[in-house]
Amino acid sequence: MAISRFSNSSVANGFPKYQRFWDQSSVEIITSYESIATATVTSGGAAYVEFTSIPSTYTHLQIRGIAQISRATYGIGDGYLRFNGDSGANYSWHNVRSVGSGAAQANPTPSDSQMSISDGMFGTTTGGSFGVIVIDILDYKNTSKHKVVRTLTGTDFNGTIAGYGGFVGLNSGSWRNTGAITDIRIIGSHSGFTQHTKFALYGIKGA
Amino acid sequence: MPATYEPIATYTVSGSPVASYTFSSIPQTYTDLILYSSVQGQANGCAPTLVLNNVTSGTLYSVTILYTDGLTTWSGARGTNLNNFDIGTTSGLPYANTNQYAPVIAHFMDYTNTSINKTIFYSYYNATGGYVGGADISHAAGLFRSTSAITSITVSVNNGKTIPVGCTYTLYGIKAA
Repeated sequence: MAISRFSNSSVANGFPKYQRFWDQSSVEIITSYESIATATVTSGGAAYVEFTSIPSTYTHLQIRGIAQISRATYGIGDGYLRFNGDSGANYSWHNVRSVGSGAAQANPTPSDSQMSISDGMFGTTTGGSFGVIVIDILDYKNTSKHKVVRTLTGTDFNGTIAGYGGFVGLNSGSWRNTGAITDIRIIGSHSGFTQHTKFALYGIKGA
Repeated sequence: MPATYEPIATYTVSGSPVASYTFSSIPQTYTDLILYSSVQGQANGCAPTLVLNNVTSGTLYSVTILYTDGLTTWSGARGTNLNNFDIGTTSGLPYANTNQYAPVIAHFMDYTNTSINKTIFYSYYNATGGYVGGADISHAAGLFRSTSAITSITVSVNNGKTIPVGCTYTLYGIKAA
């Protein structure tokens, strides 16, 4: 016999704050950091991946992933974000990045039709590596704020190809729109994402 | 059903310094791993290092680094054909004050995927008290040229040093939908 326990406050608020199901063997616990969806690119490749109908029940979002671009000649690839289908010049972004030697580079772009999240920091089919990325989107549903994004990303392929080695960097971006984010499209450069590219969307609840 | 983000194991150096510590038999039930650490250096400087699956030969590791020592502007560095992940640059971890530690964080994405070589994101942040009075911030992308799933992670420090008492390492698993 399964037993369910709901707290008074969770029932009043319409969703379980704490639930315990006892089927004599398993326990389910709901936490503040939850997986929402995962997008994995299959053998045919993809120009982009997209998270749609994002729930409004969280405070912040995080995307964690690995990405490889189909690209000849070079081992580095790029990636971009768009929110809610907006392809207008409503994005700003900049980064500080290492190209593996010398002074770090900075790349400011005050107006763009998409937000760069990887300025050469995804791997490619030429380099044979994947880039790693963590994207933080804070206060994604706040209708009083433009949306800001912080990204950590980088790739390495043990040396250089066509004069370029791996890149690693910190990126910041802004979407000049106060709308709640309900849709996130992640776009790959050149010939798009290859098989095994994967992005996982997580929601983080506040107190 | 496991929680999305949960601790797997914690290790704290106690009694006397150690050369290294290994998180072994890592469960293969998560999507990503994160290693959060609080680490101190030793006199004359050292930086954190990692080894995966006890592999210390074959020069399967490489890194691309973005760093500053707090005294100069951000710079880039690269290490190729290494036998571990070593992202030390100039000043390394703090040691001037015995109460000073540095956060060291490593992300292991898709660590069970046996179709790809493994790329990690590895960083440490020293506020003060490193070698020659500097304080490194170092971010790196690292490649482990092996398609094997990651089953163990060994933490250590470079420059022939040991990990001091009080240093703490916690390994977390993140499970995607």
